[in-house]
Amino acid sequence: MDFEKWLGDELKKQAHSLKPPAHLKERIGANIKQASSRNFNTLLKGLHAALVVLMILAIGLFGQKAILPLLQEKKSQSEAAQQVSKLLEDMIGTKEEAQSKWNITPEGYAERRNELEAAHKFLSETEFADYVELKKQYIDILQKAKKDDAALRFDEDLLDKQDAARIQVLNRKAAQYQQKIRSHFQYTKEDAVRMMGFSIHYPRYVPDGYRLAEEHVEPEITLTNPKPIVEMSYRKGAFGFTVYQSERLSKNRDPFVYDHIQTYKLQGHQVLFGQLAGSNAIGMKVIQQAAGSKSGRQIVIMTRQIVNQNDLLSRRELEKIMLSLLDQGGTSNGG
Amino acid sequence: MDEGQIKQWIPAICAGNEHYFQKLYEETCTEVYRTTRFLIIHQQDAEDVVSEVYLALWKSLHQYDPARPFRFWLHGLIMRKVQDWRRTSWRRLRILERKKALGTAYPHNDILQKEAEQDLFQLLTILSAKHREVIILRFYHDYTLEEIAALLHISLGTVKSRLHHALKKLRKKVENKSLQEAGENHGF
Repeated sequence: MDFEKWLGDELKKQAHSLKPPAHLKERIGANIKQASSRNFNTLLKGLHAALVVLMILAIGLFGQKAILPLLQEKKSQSEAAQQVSKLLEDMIGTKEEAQSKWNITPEGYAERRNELEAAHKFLSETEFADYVELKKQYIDILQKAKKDDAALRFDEDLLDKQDAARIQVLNRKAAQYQQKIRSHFQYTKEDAVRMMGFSIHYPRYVPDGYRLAEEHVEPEITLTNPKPIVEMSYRKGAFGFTVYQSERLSKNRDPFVYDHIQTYKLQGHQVLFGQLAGSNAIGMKVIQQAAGSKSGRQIVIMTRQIVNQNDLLSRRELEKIMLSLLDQGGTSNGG
Repeated sequence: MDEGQIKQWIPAICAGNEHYFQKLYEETCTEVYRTTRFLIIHQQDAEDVVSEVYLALWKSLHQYDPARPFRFWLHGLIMRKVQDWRRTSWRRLRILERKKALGTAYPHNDILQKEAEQDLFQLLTILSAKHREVIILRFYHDYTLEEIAALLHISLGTVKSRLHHALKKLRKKVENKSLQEAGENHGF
């Protein structure tokens, strides 16, 4: 048979077995709703700004005395944001340049700007200048280790001994500042619950022999609407699983990253079940509507990967843990 | 894909009607998903791109010229989103980082190989992204060479050259595979 005809036939035959997963529709619907509400919010913001101008005109000098400090604070915030944007451009270029040169996505670029804004707010003027300088020097050195054909556009192994040692020193110094910045984002579980607007729970079902070994709230370093993630790690010797509870997360912060994903319904809940290629680690994710949160409540359960060991929890066990979390309503049971 | 029906829904969608957008999704999702899967291979990445395609569709449908075929416009959008995804490669980077954190690292090609369980997918993974694009447009969607040039914003000569090299590579692979299979059955 003619090769080109064979190829066309095979592609069309194969296409029949490819069906868009059911959860995709839900995901796209949520994206569209979010995009629509953003447009509506922009309109509201515009109206709000117009209203502020009208109020100033209407209430005259007396009113201005009360409103002006607020407007000035807004102005200084916006000046700070502009300064940070300029510094980021000096460091890694514009959003487009960062993408082409360092393979940094717009999402990653925004994340870096948020972190720099937090540094600007929580470090002293001298500390902030030093922090920015450390970052600039770090990037200058990485230019020598560029690897344009790789996803991560540099390879520290390409540096000579002197530069490699310098990188270590810069990292250590920057870590001190980062620690100071992060200290302003230390949340308790209760803080996280307040920020999320819904309760978080301990699983009512925990497989035999497993116990809660660690609890941690992972902050998001941003001055606007941070989304913390509450992590609960359960262990049984070397084995374990972790439960992550949060609002629905953006791609770059979502812990649920697997190669093979299946979707199915479990007692009315849409479940994503994931497996890592070449590994025995599995995970499960559900997004549930939650009163008090527009984006919904996200629960991810991941088994801990143990190389060359097969005694991990089964999918059935993960389902039981997940259901024991989903079935709880109202307040956290406190463990 | 019912072009006439879709064109009737477009004014309502441009006015913000989500119900008609859902209908548009139902009408087009299978084709969008299949095309994207062939181009991206990896299931989760393909879902990300499909999601981006529909978001872009929602935002830019008002730019669509009803005098032109909708399918062609939609395919142009898919190609742009796939190319955007390839440029950022963020997902790939994230998967590698995650795996590193979990204690194992896999090169991307291995991920693709493992994902590509079926022969045809395996065959497609040997092609570069640019070669894969022309193959899918030509032999899955049956576009003419001129249409492919217009969709990808490249010259007719470039389309011909990419198609020639892609087919050569595929032929070679298929022939080698046949030889190998014959060899495995030779009874030694």
